Amino acid sequence: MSVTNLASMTARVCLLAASSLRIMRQIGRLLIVGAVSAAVGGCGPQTTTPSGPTVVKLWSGWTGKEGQAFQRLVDSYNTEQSRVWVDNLGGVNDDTKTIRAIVAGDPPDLAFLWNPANLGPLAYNGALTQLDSYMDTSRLKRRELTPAGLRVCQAQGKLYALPLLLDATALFWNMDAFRSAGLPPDRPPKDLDELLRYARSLSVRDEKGRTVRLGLMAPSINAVLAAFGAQLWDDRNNLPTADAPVNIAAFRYYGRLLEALGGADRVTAFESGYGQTQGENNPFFTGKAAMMISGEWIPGWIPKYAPHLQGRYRVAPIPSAKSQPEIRMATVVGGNPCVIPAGSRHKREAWDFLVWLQRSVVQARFAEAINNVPNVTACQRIPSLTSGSEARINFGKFCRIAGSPDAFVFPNTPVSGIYQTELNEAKDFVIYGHKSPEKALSDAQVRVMRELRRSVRARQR
Amino acid sequence: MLVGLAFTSPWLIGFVVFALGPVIASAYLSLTDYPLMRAPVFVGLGNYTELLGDEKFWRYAVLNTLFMFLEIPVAIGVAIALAMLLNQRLRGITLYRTLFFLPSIVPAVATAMLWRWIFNSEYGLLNAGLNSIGLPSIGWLTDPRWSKPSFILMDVWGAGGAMVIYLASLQGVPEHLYEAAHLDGAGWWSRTRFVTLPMLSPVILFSVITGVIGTFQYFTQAFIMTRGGPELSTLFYALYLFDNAFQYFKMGYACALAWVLFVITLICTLIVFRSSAKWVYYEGN
Repeated sequence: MSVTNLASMTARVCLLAASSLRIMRQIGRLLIVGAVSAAVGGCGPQTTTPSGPTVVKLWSGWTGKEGQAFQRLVDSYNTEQSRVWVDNLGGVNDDTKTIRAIVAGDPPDLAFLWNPANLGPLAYNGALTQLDSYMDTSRLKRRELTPAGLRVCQAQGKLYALPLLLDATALFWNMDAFRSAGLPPDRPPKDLDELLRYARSLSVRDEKGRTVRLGLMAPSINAVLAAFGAQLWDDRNNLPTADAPVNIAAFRYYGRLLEALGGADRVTAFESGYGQTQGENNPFFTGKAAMMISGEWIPGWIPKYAPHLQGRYRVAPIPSAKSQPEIRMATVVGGNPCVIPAGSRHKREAWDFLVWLQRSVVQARFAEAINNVPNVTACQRIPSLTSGSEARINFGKFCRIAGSPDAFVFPNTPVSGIYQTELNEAKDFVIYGHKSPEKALSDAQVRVMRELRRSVRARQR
Repeated sequence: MLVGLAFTSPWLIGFVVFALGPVIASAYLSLTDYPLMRAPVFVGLGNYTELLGDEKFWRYAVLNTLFMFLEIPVAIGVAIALAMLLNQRLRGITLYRTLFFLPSIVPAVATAMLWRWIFNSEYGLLNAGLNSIGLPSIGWLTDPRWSKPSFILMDVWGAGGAMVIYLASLQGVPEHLYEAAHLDGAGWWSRTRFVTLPMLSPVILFSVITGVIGTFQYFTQAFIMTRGGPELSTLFYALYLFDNAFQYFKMGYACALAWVLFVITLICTLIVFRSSAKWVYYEGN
């Protein structure tokens, strides 16, 4: 390469580098301008315009058809009035996202908690708006709402949320299975002891001893706690009571029930073959379970997923423990509490929307769409929801059961999540025979107490 | 200098923001009580002393250590055996090598979903095989006694990654060493023991160290397949850490657990390194 060529190439490279640097500087300037614009214009709360409505940010968890049905409700609210515009972000069914937004100081104005166990820790840590004063001055009265629904939303006796709809549980049984086992097909077991006997006689095994059908799909420990009228929390002293005698009795019963079904090993092995239970593979639908304790959405699913069961199944409250005859309608009630974070910028507007969601017509529309129990008691008697088809009649039973004074609601405490985990772990130790109910629950009590003390210390600092 | 920094800045900024920053933050948070919904409060070594009295911490640390002692020898043994089998001059050997390597590139989530059904007590492939030869079904993921061996079995299926490294190493073993051993009258086992394994020992050391780190961080498969069950038999340390951080919102405590995990892993790694002087042979030495 000649010197001239080298010089020319060097000059070209220098020019290219210089122009590249110029371009880079230009890009840099643009980026800075963009960043400053974003910082100035994008970070502040742009939730109102001088003449437009106040924008209320709402995070909800429903997706698919349920999400569309909820969005239609929101759209109705937005067209019914012009003061507020509810901006719904659907599919937020991971509460940690909501919690991160609260921690970051930029929460939505309203949010549905997908796991109600998160309400307690949030409420006790001052992250939620207390709603009693709003309720006291509202046209909506507590007596209009389901008592258990209110308990889902309360912590330490104070209101922190309102649900839209509720979940309740009840006993389903297959009448044909009852007939073939020589049991009265129209009558549910009268108490838990009879439920255990039925579960045993309805369980079917093949010639090799393998389970073919479970008499009862293993219920959640909360369902059995409900049937015993469990005492999980001492409201007066604000302390856990995991090892209360009634809870020990419930756990002992649970161990006996699993034994009657063939033992924990056999039951868990059989359950692993269920597949996705929230749909057509539900073991009650496929005949793998003769009874199950499940929720109010099932009657609506049967015509779709298990039409062969139409007219061949019944629903009743969970039978109560023989030792607790005063419990007439045992059930577990839950739901998705809708909270107003403490950092919400439009609390009044958010509350107004929450009250609007409690209107009978709104509740009925959504209940019809997603087959969950309305929170408003008047709505629980609407004929279009509770009469007509078999599915609607059984749905109506759930509406009555949800209103039961015996309904079990897991207590909202600063340590609800850990408490539920400890109870589930204690249940596992009991059913596998590695701990007695007394030992398993006293261990759980010690751990929950320790977590509670820790939480109290943290809040006092 | 500045231009150089500018060009390396994407990596530098990424490292500081996404690696170094979180590491420093987690070290600080481990000294705080941080329930997420409130600002962290400094508690000194409170989380660490609480951890010492936490029977679950000890249970899961022991469980993880036991799992490590079971998993690493089996995984290494299978990978070496496979590599030796595939280190032959056979027709179509590259196809076999590819087939054995393939499972190692299947994502962990897909592997977990697949094996959940292979292990299924009712309809699983493994139990169908056992039943076909007259053996009873096993509760692979539903029986606390079988849950850990099941995970090891699944991990062995993905031994192709390590196998490829052993295979490469095997092909680097000088042929004259085998010839000399052969002339000295060494049989297959003696050649394997005194030639192959010493020549593979640096790679085995690498596998043991990555195995120690991997087993202490075991999370994805257990999270998807068993969620810690049955009867907490697969609640690995990392799952307990995750639960504390994102289920119970004890972020300070979870950070302390993470740092203790780091220290445990470091100690185990150092022990392996120290012991390597006695069993690792470097050709250059």
